[in-house]
Amino acid sequence: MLEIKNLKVEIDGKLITNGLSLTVPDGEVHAIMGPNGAGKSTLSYALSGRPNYEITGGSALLNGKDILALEPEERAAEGLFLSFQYPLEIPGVPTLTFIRTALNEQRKYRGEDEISAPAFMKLAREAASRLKIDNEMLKRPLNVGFSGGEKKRMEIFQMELLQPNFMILDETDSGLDIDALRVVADGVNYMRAPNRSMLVITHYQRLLDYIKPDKVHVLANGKIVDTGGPELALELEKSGYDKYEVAA
Amino acid sequence: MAIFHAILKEFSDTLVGNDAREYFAVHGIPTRRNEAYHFTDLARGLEKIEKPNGEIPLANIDADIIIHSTQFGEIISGEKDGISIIPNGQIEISDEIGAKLCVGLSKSNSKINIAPNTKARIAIQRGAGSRSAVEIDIGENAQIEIIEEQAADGGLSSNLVNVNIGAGASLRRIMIMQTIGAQDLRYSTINLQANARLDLFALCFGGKLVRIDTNVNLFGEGAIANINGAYILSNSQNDLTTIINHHAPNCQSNEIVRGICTKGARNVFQGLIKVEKGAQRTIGKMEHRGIMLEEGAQIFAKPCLEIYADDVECSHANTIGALDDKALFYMQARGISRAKAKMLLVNAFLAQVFDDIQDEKIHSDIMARIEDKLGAIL
Ligand SMILES: Nc1ncnc2c1ncn2[C@@H]1O[C@H](COP(=O)(O)OP(=O)(O)OP(=O)(O)O)[C@@H](O)[C@H]1O
Ligand SMILES: [Mg+2]
Repeated sequence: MLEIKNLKVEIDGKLITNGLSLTVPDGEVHAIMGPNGAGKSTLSYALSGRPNYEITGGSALLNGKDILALEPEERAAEGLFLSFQYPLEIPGVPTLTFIRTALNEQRKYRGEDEISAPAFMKLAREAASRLKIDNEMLKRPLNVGFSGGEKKRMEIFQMELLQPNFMILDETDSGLDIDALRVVADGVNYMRAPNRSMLVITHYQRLLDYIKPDKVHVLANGKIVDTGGPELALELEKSGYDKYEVAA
Repeated sequence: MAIFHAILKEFSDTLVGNDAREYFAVHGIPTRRNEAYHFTDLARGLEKIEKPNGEIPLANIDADIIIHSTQFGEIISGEKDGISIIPNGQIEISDEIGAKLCVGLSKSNSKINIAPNTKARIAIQRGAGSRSAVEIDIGENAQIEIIEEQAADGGLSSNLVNVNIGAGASLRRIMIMQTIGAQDLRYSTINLQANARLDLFALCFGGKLVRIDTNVNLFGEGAIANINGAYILSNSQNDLTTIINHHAPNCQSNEIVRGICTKGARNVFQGLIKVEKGAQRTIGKMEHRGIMLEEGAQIFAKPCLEIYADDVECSHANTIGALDDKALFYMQARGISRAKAKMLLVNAFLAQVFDDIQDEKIHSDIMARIEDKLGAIL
């Protein structure tokens, strides 16, 4: 469960997130929609602990723990996962080496034993076949030269292997072809569980046909300005964000 | 400087070095006014020379011949059919200042003759204050591996190496250089005859003053030279200066140098590919990539092409930057600590330099040294 209260975030002295409050209970999926530049990615980065995203007010609790006080890697080990809008390329580090290192670092933080190479390989093979990821790709340096869609699919692959309990998907659907969208959505649905919740940031109602949200929020000008059920997404598709922009 | 001249005089017993010593007595040590030493001030770097300490034990290396070079002289052990070692053998000295310096400083010189078709591994281990010159003549179609390890702590060491790689022969030379608080001057001239091949791998940790000159001449058609260097500098200085000279047509050279510097460290890379008039259909590639890990690190790079033939494929790439902050955050967001993320990125960046070492044991030994060093400085 994630509880954000009156969060304020500044980047380079500029106030971007302006008193945002949001609660996502265990087991629920919430969608966030909103115009370009509204502060959706800023919220995901701030929750993940990106440097230079200065928290100037408010709080964020993940399963009751103040995550804003933690290093980014500690937040990940606490169960937070961000599927990046623009995944980074990691030159020279093979995909599987990268994920296994990440998983073991998280386990170390939680006081758990390292996962053995064969056990990890088994999980990786299963996830890869579910997500239709070629084995050859797993040996290549992570995301280097991958297409936009492949990078997004790789985010979901990492998510499945790291088994987080709170996931933020920042426009994971952007740039995906129709088949990939279905594969990615299946991957996300596969992760749904009573003790897991997620925040799905998207511009397209279409994704929400595949991943059924419990709630839809509208983020504009750095705060949540409207909340409703799945029907709100359909409404936005028709009417756009004009009324929120004017209100701001 | 007085100390340096005293050192030069002290070892006037090697005949081959006499001319060089005379030269420096007249002209002095090159300063920054000399273009080749513009980025590395030899005269200043040699102002203070400490007594050598820290002797290295003989490493447990599997080699046919082991040359253990110390401040007191050389111990050569092992025997191999086709290899003869002549102490105090006459060696040729090029006119380059770096070569002169090294030969002038050398306390001993030897000549190694390798018969055609010989297959052998030679290990050279150098301790603090070891100063030697060697000429190696590799016969046709021989396959030779030279593994050199420098582990000096304090003192000035020097090394002149002249190698001739005969037609169809190959040399794989692996250099591991840890000079710590010391000075080290090295000069290699490596000549390749027709279809000869050189694969050079160097791992440099730098020192108080380290200058490594490598001069490669592709004299025979179809020769191939691959030069791979990595530097990891923390509180140390390192200078890699290479000249690759294509004299004959249809030769290939490929140079890759990558390294990192922390605050207070300084690396110089000077690379020249020279293609002579008759050297048509030359392929010459050079790449240098440096990463400055912190503010206050210094990396100087001077890549040059000098081409007098018209049908060639030559290129150079040079980048100097910092680690990608966004990539580091991405890794952290996956649960990898910042220190470990840096380690992974730098390790991967440097590892590519040594990708082509096929011997698994040597390869993993080099990787382990890199990891140890990074662990200590990141
Ligand atoms: N380093 C920065 N300095 C100043 N402003 C910034 C910086 N980074 C982001 N911003 C601004 O913050 C605002 C929010 O950006 P953000 O990326 O969070 O938007 P978004 O809602 O994710 O948009 P999109 O739908 O286009 O992905 C934008 O106006 C952007 O220009
Ligand atoms: Mg965004």
